[in-house]
Amino acid sequence: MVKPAQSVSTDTAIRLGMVGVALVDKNGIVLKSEGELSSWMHVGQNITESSTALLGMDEALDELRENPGQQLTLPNVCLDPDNQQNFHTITVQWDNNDQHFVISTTTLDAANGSEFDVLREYRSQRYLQDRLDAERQHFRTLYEQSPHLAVCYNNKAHMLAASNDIRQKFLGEDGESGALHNQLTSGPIWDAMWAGETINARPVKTTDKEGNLRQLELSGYLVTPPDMLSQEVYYSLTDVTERNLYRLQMQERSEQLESAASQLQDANKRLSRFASMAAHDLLSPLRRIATFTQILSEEFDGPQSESLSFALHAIQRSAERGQILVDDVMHLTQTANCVSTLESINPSELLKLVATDSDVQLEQAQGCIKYVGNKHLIKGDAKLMRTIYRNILSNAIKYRDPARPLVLTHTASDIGTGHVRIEFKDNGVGFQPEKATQVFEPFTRLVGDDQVAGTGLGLAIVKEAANAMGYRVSASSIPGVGTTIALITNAAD
Amino acid sequence: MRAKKILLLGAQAVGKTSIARRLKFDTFEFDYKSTIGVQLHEINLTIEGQQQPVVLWDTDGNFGDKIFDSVYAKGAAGALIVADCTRPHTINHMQHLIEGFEQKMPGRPCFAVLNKIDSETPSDQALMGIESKVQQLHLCSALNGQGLLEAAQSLLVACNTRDSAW
Repeated sequence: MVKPAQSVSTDTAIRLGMVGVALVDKNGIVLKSEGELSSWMHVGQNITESSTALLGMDEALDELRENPGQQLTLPNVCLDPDNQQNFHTITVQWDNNDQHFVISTTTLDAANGSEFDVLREYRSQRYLQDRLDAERQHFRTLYEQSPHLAVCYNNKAHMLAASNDIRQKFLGEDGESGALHNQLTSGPIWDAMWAGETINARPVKTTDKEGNLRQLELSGYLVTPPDMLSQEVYYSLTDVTERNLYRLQMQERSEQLESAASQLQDANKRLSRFASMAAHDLLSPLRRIATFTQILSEEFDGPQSESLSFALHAIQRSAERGQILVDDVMHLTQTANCVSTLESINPSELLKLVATDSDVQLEQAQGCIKYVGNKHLIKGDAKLMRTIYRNILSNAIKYRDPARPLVLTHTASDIGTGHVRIEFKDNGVGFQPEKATQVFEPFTRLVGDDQVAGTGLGLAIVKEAANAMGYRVSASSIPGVGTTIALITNAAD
Repeated sequence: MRAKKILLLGAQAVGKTSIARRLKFDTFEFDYKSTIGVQLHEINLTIEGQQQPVVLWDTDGNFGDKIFDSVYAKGAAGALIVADCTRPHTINHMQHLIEGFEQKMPGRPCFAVLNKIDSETPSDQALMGIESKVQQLHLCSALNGQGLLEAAQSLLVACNTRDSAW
């Protein structure tokens, strides 16, 4: 660096290689300005107030005045940001003899300029590397927090980053050994990656560090980092061994269940067939007993003893009751094994239809049916619904309160979520509320045979029919007030 | 009106030169060119309707905290200390420079600038952590100019307030 002499003249200074020289008085006012300095240091201007490079440097200039031997040097100052090759070194010195500051500037020589270019290039590369490292760090952070396994390789199959899980389970201490490493960095997967293919959820079988067979799902893609110098392969792996094992177990269980269900269905069919055959075989002798009892009664159409007449009557009644019982058992088994066919049904209309079959009984009971909410349609099997309605109506008539006319209220109401609640409320004799569940059990009778005719299968049939359509059925009652049977059905679309 | 010397400090490649060029020319250059030494940018900022000259000293990020002992820092009225929000280590460096500036040049305003927010939005948690340690934090983008003028103007107002107090 060229240092100005104590009292160098501006001409001399420029001859010495300086490109600009200025003289400034002790207060910072420019006295003279030549060469390059003349463009940014004007005569009369205060350099600490408006000159770019010496702006605000009042204290620094005061220090120089107190120490005349010292100089202030500002190296590598680019005064023109549009021309980054044009660097100045600015030097300020106090001339104690002439009592003024001498400010000189030199420009950068060509050799230094080239060095700067090299330095710039080096720094640019370092910056790009820094960016790349930041991205790798980001990748590392992302995947370390991810439940998946992740690993990244450069084109020399050198591992750049890997999630903790993959390191611990599959890769060797150096991170570049193990069966999985070999699979990922050679062979068809590696070749596909470098051919630019993207792999999505490809099943891969490998072994972990302990030699256990593991099943992985692999996704992979080729990445070109911002520096464009080297490409990298990113793999994302999911260990699906347990998942597959669980899926297999579920499949086995499902098959076992299906098989059990099929066996159960076969057993049910056999049982149903047996029940039908048994009922049919049972009906035949019962009918014969009833018929021959009738014949006997007619043959002895004369003065019969009272006891013989009673006996014949009892045999006939028992035979008839036996026939009804067998019929009901057959009906129950058929209902339980029935495959329902669902269709849109208006429950109020259905009850009106069923009630016509029981007109006589209703009339005898002085009964009437009230309909509430008769516009709601339900999805049900017509045959099963008729069975339900027939049994409920029959029960309402049978268990009516003889002290008052029967009133049966049928209510259909939309209870949301695609369901319609159907309610049959009678004013019959009712039963104890704690028997509400028991009434749906087969052969449950809450009154004696001599009081009300029946087999105790009516509500059991109702329950089986409701189950066959996926309905829920419940009962509630208050003795002396009446009984309510409720069905939760599916609303029609 | 007397010009003010404002230092632009920060780690390498955080965007100091881009900030200076955005403030001076309202442009952005995608090519990265490392600054060597110092570049001086004369600009005018409008404060309360009046134009005020400012010289931005766009410094070489390689200086680190040695800048405070160099001649470049002499006479600075304030500093914008810049970090790249996509590179966490530059934020640590920014906080280190802020501490250095406040120690070597006590009382002078020194605001933090988080640059490149067009690339990444810093989390609220990260921002709260930085805000608690700096005089003012400005979220900026030299790419689109977002927040830069406000940051420079705020700093200049703080410099003027300090001068008038003296």
